[in-house]
Amino acid sequence: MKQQKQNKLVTDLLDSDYKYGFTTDVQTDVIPVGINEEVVRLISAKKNEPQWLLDFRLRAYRKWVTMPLPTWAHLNIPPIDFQNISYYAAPRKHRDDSRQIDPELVDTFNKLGIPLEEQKRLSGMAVDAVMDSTSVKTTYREDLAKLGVIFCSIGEAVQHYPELVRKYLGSVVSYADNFYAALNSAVFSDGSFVYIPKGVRCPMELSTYFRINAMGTGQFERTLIVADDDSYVSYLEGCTAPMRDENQLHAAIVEIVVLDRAEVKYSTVQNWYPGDKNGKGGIYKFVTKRALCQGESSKVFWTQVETGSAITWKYPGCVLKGDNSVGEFYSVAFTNNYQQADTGTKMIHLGKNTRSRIVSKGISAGRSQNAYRGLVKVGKNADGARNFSQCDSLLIGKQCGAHTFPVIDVQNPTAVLEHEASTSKINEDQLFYCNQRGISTEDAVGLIVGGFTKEVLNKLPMEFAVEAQKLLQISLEGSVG
Amino acid sequence: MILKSYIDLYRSAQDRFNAGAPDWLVEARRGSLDFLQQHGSLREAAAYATDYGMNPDRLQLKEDPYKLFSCAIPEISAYNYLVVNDSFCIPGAAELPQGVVVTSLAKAFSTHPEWVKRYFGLSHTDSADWHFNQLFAQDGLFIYVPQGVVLDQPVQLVNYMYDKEARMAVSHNLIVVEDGAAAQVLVCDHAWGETDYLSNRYTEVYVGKGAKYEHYKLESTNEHMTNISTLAIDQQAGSQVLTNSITLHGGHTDNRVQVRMLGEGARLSLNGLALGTGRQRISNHTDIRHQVAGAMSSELFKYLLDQAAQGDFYGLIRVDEGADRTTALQTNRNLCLSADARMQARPQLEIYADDVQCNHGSATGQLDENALFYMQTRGISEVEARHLLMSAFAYEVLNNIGIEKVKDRLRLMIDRRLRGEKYNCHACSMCQ
Repeated sequence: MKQQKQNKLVTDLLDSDYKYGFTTDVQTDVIPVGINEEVVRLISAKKNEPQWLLDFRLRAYRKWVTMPLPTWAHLNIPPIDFQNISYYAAPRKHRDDSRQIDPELVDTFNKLGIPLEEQKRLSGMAVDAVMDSTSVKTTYREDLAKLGVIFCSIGEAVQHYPELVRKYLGSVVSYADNFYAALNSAVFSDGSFVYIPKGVRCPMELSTYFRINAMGTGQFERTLIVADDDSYVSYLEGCTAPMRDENQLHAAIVEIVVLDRAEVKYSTVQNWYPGDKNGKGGIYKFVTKRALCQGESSKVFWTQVETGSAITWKYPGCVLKGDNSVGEFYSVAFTNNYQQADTGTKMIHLGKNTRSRIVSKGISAGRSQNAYRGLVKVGKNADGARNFSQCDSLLIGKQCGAHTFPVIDVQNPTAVLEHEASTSKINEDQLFYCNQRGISTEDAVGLIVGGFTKEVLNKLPMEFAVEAQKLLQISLEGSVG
Repeated sequence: MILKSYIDLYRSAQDRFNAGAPDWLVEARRGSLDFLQQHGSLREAAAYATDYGMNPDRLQLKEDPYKLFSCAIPEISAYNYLVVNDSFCIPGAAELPQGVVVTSLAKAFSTHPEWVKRYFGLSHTDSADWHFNQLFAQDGLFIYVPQGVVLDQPVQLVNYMYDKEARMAVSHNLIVVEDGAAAQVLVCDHAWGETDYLSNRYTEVYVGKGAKYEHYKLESTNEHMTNISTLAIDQQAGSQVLTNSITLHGGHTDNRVQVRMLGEGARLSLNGLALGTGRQRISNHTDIRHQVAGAMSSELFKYLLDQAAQGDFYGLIRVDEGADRTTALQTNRNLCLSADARMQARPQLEIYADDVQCNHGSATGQLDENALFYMQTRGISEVEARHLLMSAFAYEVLNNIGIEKVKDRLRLMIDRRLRGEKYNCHACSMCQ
């Protein structure tokens, strides 16, 4: 009986659907497929960029051409034809009034629950919505401007705040960092730019919503966040994409610079289309995210809930350069069907008395493969560094895999590092205990998964925590009620 | 490049290397040669760059080696065997239990050809290191314990590196413990003088159903020694295996242990302790494959690193699809005692079955300040308190040694070593 229920549970789990799979019929300006120096120049020209940025892109492109495709991840990546992707797609604006946004687009973002229009002012969140390659609209900009906070698309930032962008772009993730970082640096189209001035505590959550809409395109967004001395910001990022049979590429870079005593919270709920039940379609996601705690006592908190994408390759990291700086990483990665995830973090301790904490929860179901990969490195001068890492995996079903690949590298005797990992299936005793008290197996699984991920979800801002909870529920829906 | 010179060496002296080797091995060496030519990438390849001498003609020492060297742990009763460089020195007759064979591998090629052929290369994986060893290893130890026989004493094998010029020793040990049998093997590594040595040793162990096997490797060589060893164990159903690698002194030590759990109910305990000083480099690489359901493995590896010592721990546990009810536990603890010491740990889990209990824990740090303070408040000096904590740290690994005399001797050696005293064993001819 129990076995049957378990089987049902697994079947239901495999059957749960992707609910953001709609496409929007907006006119899109897509450049022809393929990549070469001309394409890089074309993207730069379309965005009316200054020469230094074009040079940056070209340097990155020239480097990218020489780089081999990375193969070290525990992922089975089908060959990607980089010449068969369009590197720029923008929703075309209505001619009569360029300030008016296509109503279809507004509808899309409404479907996603993004408070793009002013009527949703009450939800109190500033949003930058990015469709395909360009930023569609940024809300609340005026309110933020009064405090000196800059929140706009990176394209606009290049036009209006070139010195700031030039100073920090590529300062955390160099264009030569890795294969996908080089590609992004060459062809990045849009993303958000955030600057929080000295001593300002950003009064609202800043949020970017990314959506891939056009066919045959890739998305290469670039986000740059700079938190000046004594400032604070909480930034949220969400992603969805339509259901398509083809695979789409997403290669993003997020750079965060945190100066003295500043604090940045970066939360992601990633729900790109994961492909269908047979592993067809879905987004390939190769993302480089890194924060540089440059100032003393600076803090960065990464929180991620990863439920989407056919392939996830993502390691948000912290370079703890300032003395007494803190980096924390909380992650829930859920994979189902044929999804593959290789995700984790890097904590590089360089300053004195730096602290980091890693909590990673992986849940694999179906035929998916879910890997945690992490690096904790303590440099020679990082006296008193402290790290605690915990990565737990939960397995649902017989054909999935859960893997853990941490690397701990210590070059300072005063460092204290701890790493713990465990892998198990849902505990039979816990299920039995719940059953005994009249909770159905399905509800019990929901409870256990909820408890398993709670530590991470608690770190998300309220609105996002609710969304993340819902997402996990969708993934488990039908099986856990 | 380096490997190529070895390939050329083999080519030019094939007949000498193949003298006395059975036909199937000569044939297998052809395959190894092809493999190395195509995918040759040896681990620690840089270590092979020195111009080492080899001994393809199996020249023997003039003196009786058993008179020259002995490593007598006080009061230990063991069957003693000696390998000088890579030549097994056949001792006088020892009274082994009925049916047990302990001899040189080179000799076993002719005396027990079928057994050797049946078990040789069973556990290997296609790696450059295996093929390199197969190409050049002409001798080593061969142990055969027949079904149901329990060896009453441990077999002690002393590997002694002895030459006046840079020397490479490539040896191959083959140990077969048949169903229901039991054996303990103690391997001690020593080196003479200030010559550069490289030892490349591959030890294959077949542990039959319900058999028990214990393998201890103690290294106390010197900074001129590069010791690259692989221990490959195949475990059948219900077998129990305990291994413990203790590295006290050496130059560059690279221990690899590969275990395949092939039968239900197999139990494995892998242990290691490394005490590093000077510019010592100590690497322990473990690879456990749970291929069937219901097996259990546990690992405990500890490092104490001082001065500019470097430690590296890589522990992979792989649970194959269908290997349900697997329990795999791994613990790695490291103490870095100086600013120049460096520790790298890579505990890895690869799991393809769902009904499993696997965990690993790794911690790197220093002595607990609170414990030190506690002891000082009770009148124990700081030096003594440190010593107590470090010894306790190390002794945990020694608890997993099944030969009491060896355990006692190691306690003493480690105690002296941690006090900074001369820490050799004092009892053997080499140390005096």
